[in-house]
Amino acid sequence: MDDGASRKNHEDAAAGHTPPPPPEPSAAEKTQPTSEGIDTSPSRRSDQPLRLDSETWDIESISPMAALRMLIGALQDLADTMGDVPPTPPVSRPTTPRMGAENQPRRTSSPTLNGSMSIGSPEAHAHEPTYIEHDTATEDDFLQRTAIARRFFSKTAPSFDVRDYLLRVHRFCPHSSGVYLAAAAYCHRLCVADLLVPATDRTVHRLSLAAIRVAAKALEDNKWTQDRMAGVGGVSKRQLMNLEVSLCFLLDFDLGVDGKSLARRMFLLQQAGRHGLGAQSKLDGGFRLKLPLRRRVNTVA
Amino acid sequence: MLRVPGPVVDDLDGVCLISNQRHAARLPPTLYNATLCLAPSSIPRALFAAFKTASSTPTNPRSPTTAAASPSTPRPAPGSSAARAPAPIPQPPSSAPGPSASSQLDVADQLTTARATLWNRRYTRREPPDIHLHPTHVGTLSVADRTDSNISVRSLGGGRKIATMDKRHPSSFQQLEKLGEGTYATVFKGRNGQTGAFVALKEIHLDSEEGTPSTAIREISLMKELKHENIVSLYDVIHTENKLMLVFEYMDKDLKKYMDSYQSPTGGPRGALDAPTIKSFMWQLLRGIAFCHENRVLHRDLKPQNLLINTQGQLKLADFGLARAFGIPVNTFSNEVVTLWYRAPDVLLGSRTYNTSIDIWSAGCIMAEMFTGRPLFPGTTNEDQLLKIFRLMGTPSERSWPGIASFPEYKTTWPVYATQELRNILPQVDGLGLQLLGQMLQLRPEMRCSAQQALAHPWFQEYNARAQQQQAQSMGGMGAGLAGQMGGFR
Repeated sequence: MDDGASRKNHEDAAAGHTPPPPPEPSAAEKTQPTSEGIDTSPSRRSDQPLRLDSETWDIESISPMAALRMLIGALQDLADTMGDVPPTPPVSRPTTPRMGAENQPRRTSSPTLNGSMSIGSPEAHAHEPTYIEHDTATEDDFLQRTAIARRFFSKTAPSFDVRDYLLRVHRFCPHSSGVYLAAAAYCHRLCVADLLVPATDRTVHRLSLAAIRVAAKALEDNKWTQDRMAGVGGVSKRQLMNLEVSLCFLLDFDLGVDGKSLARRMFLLQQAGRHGLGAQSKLDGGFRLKLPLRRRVNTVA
Repeated sequence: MLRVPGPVVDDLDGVCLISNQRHAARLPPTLYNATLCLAPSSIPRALFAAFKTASSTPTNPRSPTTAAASPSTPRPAPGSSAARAPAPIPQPPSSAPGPSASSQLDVADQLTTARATLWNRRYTRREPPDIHLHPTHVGTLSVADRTDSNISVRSLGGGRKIATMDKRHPSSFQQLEKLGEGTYATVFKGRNGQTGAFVALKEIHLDSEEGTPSTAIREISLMKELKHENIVSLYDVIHTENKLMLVFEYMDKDLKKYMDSYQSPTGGPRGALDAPTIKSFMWQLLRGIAFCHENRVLHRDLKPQNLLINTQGQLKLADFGLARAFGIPVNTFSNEVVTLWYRAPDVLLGSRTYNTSIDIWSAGCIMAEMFTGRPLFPGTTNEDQLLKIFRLMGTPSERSWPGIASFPEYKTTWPVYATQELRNILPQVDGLGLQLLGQMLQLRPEMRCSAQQALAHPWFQEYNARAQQQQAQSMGGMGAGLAGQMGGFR
């Protein structure tokens, strides 16, 4: 923990007195962006997404592409069912107006990247506090979490669906099936089990991007640079970091996964999506549990 | 105050509010009311819940309406009680209604602040002080640059209460001297404002170039799961504007510093520990490793600097920044793991399919180092490290290690060394200890013993006997307790 002195002394290591510097598992990534040691035998694994009917299945049997398609399918089903759920209004507290506060940009819009997908501005602005002052501990957690959840909302739904978005992410920053399954597990906990962030067309883009990023950081030794991932995802680096931190806190840093829980969560996420669609199809045509959704236009040229 | 009924959500104990009563008391009551009245922001939650109910129970399409209706229940407006309160003040019957109303307004006009009175230009020429009221965390975590966005994870004990933490003020820590600095974090000694207990504060700078460091993500998520007496406890995680603060259990020294400052009672060489201490530390080290491996976690950076010792002679594993879970289909398994001197030969040969045995190799190196006071294999480069190992263990060949030729770093030009007796290099170790060390320091990963096997080795006989005794006692205690209950039922 406090071997700081040793980390500085590279040269002394040879002297045999000070220990050598600690290893850097991601050292390879700096020299070669394409991850070395990547599984080059995906041929024997199927690219076809599975329709799961049990929580025990072989997670080794699917390719990364199949895992990604399963994630996309489930999120799309959930978003189709949910319609637009507005975010919780910002947690505002009485503050003394500060001089020069007007100069601060209220919103940090996503960078306009050439030929890339931008998913628009987030609901929460960069400096929005994520907590309020409160005395009783009962509702606190929930209030604070809804405040954090605001960061996942886009102001308007991006003009492309989550399928196009994630396939693009996969094209430029491919990940392993383990990462996609872990991302699905995180999404299941947030959208279905804990009801912290509703999966809607306004949230799934940010949510899936953050989930994939955090899963990659938790599971992989080599990962894509923040710059590349943010560029491909159509958010700024700072936003991506905020999304990562928000996801970690919403999940309470319970990011550890094992094969069994991955299989189970993916099944449950698919099931939730299917149930949602099933319930919707049984209702009258005129009975729509959806709020109208504003879509962003003119995003992709 | 209105509470919107929502679904029962389990596993909600995580992110906590920085509640601060002291601050609340300092706010004017109206402002404070306004703060409290934010709770109706849970209305969307009810809607959200309604959607969920509707989607899961299609036979009851009315349920969302009922659930969504509850937020519309009239609730008292903020400060309405305050507005009504002055009404029953008895008016003097003699005064006319008109002047009375205006005199009440006069009183309101005269209402003023202490500041306006004290620095009235009629009485002083002094400028009023430049006061900015920031209703934020005064007094919590005395870090210079506290900002508005503080979030914190608490109850990391997985339901277990952590004695040193106060639920109400989870983040009031006084920051003391710096303990060390790493590549991605700085560690400070800290003091819990409520209990006075020491903690270690690991400050991780968040930088948008890297985002949340994966070392931090791993360390927090793995150490949350690994609760064991031989693994350092993580108490809390606090997020401020641009850093994460990890609050750890405080330990006095790391094993390296402990060895450097150790005075052997028997006058051994500098840095070497005496045999009973080594046995105790090895027992605790292997128990910690065994627990990690049982939970499918590889530590991947075991070295004396990452083993912390407290004044009670307890040894705990720390720094899980390189640790990772295994058994998940992922792409990248780096072979740039474990500090060079403690790196297993299979990793040095470029293996990416290593397993728990690499932690056992490190443990063997640490054991030898505790006996001699010097690192066993102080290599300078990957190649040099391998040769230092071969000089002692003998150069492996396809005959002694089938399949070695397929490792990326395999060379046919290695000088051929003969295997040496560990006894000659470590004459101070007893026979059983050498036997155990030999089982841990095996070139071939599949030949190394597991942590469980090492713990069961006869070298630890006294510890094993004690552990069994304790187990038997606790079992006996449970039996007695059960019998007592049964007696009670009868």
